[in-house]
Amino acid sequence: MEVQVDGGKLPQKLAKRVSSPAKNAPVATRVFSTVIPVHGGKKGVATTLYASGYVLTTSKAGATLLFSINGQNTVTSFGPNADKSFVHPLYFKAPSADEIRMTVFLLAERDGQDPAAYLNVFAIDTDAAQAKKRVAGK
Amino acid sequence: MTSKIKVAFAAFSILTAAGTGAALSADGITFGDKPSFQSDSKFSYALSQD
Repeated sequence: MEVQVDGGKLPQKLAKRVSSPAKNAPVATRVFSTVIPVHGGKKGVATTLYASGYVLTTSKAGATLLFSINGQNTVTSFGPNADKSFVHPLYFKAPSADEIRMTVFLLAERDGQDPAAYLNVFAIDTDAAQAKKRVAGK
Repeated sequence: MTSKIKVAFAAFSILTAAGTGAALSADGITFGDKPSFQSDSKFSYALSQD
């Protein structure tokens, strides 16, 4: 999933990837939610989920990633002049969990007509074995 | 055996929501083989083991 505000300054190869660019908009948002059943989580779940993505911002532009798991949230803000891939971790711990309710919220914004911002998240991963080890080690 | 899940976004251009069959066990913690809810169908969900 991805979000963009663009005054025409983004590289063309990125601009072409955006299915619904928010041209001329100062702010653009996108949200995605999913629920994944968890079996055997009655004794607790503790794991880290990783959101992998990419951010590109010009001057006077920024982007924000909000990652929520069962009400536990992290917010990451990317400032101006960013151009990097990232793997953003969210440590999730609950005494009992029957499901993982996951929401990803992306925001891109700019100050003025020329700046541009692009943010995407292309994958979210976690590892059940890691979860088990962390519960056992608590 | 470990079990991993991946929710992969494909720039909202690929319509897939396929699991890999039965859920994979990982010493007690097991993820379902498919999401019970999703706000958008344009992503893929997969379990893997290694």
